[in-house]
Amino acid sequence: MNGDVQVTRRKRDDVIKNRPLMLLAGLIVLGAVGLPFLTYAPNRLVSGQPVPLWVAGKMADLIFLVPGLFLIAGVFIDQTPQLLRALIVAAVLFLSGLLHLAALGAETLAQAGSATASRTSFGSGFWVMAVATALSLADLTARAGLSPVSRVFVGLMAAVPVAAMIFFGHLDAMSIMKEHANKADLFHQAVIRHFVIVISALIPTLLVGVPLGVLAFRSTAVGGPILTVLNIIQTVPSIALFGLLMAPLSALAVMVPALRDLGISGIGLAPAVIALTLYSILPIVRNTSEGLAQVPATVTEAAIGMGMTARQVFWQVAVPLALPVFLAGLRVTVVQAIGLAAVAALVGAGGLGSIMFQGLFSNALDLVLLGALPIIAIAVLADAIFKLVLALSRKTVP
Amino acid sequence: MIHFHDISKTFGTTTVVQNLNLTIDRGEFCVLIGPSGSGKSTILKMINRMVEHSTGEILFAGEGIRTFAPEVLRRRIGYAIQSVGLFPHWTVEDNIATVPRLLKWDAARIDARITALLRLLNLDNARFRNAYPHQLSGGQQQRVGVARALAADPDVLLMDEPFGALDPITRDSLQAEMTRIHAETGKTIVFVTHDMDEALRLATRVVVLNAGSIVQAASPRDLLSNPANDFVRAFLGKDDYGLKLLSVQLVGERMRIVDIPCGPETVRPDDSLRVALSRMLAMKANRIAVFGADGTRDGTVFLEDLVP
Repeated sequence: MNGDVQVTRRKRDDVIKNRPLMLLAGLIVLGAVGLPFLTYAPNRLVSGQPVPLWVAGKMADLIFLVPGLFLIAGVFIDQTPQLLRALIVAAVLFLSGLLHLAALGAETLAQAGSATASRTSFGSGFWVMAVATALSLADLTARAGLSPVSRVFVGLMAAVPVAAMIFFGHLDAMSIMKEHANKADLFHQAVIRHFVIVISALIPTLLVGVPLGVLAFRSTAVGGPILTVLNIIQTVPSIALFGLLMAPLSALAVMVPALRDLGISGIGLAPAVIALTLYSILPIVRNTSEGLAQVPATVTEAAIGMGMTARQVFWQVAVPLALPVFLAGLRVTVVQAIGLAAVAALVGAGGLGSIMFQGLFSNALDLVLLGALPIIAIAVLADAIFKLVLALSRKTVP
Repeated sequence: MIHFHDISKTFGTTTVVQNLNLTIDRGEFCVLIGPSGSGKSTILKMINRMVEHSTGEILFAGEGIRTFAPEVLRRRIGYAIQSVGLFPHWTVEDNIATVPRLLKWDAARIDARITALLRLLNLDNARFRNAYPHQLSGGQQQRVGVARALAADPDVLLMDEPFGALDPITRDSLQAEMTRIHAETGKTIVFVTHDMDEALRLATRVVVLNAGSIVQAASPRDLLSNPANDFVRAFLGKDDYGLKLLSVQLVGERMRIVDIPCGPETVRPDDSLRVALSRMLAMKANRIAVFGADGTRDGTVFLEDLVP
């Protein structure tokens, strides 16, 4: 009896070669069969009706789902490096295939109803399949043990078709792109504003944070209190911090008219940039000081002993060796600032967050996505760039 | 070359070095030896002002070391330490070029110097020149460390327990290299160790230190034949004292010019008598043949010759 159970268990283990992928493939099947691929509404006021996957396009268009079938088959095949690479390609193709199918479906539905008023949105089936495929991609790249440069290449393979579909108007029939078209000027201003907020916060962060980090490394008596204060600031919820800055800033603007002329007031860019700077300084100070601290004392001693001046030791030895840790801190800071800048819209700083909140308050999901997706895309892009730079800088420093 | 005149060093209330008077001549291989806390490392580091002396005066090449800017002084003094301290983000080539670049040598001269130094330290130019420190073994790293210390052709080389962290075989080969490099370059070397065998093997003069003062300064042979007191005697070791005595005497001094059949093992005239004894014991023989470097039979050492 017992032996039989063991045999069947063994058999099942032999059949399934990649358990995480099995789970994700299950989600893909569920998303494809059980959930609406798109939702369609004749105008933006009524709630959408579910549209299943097979109604989205012509029957022949379902060929774009074939890479998905291969992904599911991958669960049962030995995970050799060649197979993993093939599955990565399949996942990338499936992602763009899903988007392409959605676009085709939206076009078909638009022809049936009013081209301008009708709204076709991504349904829960699309999102489940897209997220499961993205997670499969992450699992497969990790299993394949790709080099950082190859990972960036995989990321580009996934991102370029999406960007191209957006750029060449293939998704224009989707409601999110219609919202974009309606608010094109506003959207572009918001993107630029978002960058302005993040960069305006990063410049003072670096100008203040790096010297503070060096100071914290050189003197623990100074460094301890600095880090304590910054840690406390970090625990203040972002909305609260934005709010806390409004009162003193508006008071300041009243008392010093010169500041008001510079555009500083209780709402707008000033409190947003100050709050973001306060949040961003901690990782910069901490990683600058930790980066310098992990430079081996023996290396510094050798440098001094050979006749380097204090300045030469700092710039030629300490800075290059501290750089990877510093860049890791900068990465956290930048990605965090891109996300937090969305909340800054609440104090009137603008940016993509303003579109997101507009959507939230008017219960327009597509508007929320129009604000949120670019923020995610920018954050992921920044993260990827930093990972690449970090990998390259670590090549020489083990 | 280096002259300590009434040097004392105190850290707070503890005195580490007390009224030290020591002259190290040009071309000497001076080994400072003593137990932990004897002040040997402190004395070494006072020469290049890594540690500042409290009272007295240190002369370097006839001038007080405080008349130099510390950086200028240090660039004239090679410095090698136990942990090597190679710059992990620079190649072997860049590491060796550190001081020549600080001295603004031109590129061709630096390049030629790196080639010569890698050859001097028995490191293959093609293989090591562009390697990073983490790609090297501990022994190779220390070879690069020594090459880096010698790079700008310094007047003096300071070495702070440079081979302390290496395995016995690697240490042995680097000790042989140091003896050869000292003979070839004639550099003044100040070397800190706590290993008496290393001191006796390398030094032209051994300075035995205890609690911040010199107990005895003498050539290895004089130290062994006339230890100043019980402390030196204890440091020389009780059980293998006789073997240490043999280790500072050469086969050439005791061999007889006779050519009689001996066992398969042989020695050379510049091997120590300790090596000769060891090989006789290994062969279970009471004599061993001596062959010169050119392969000609020079003579024979007999077991009874080891006792004068």
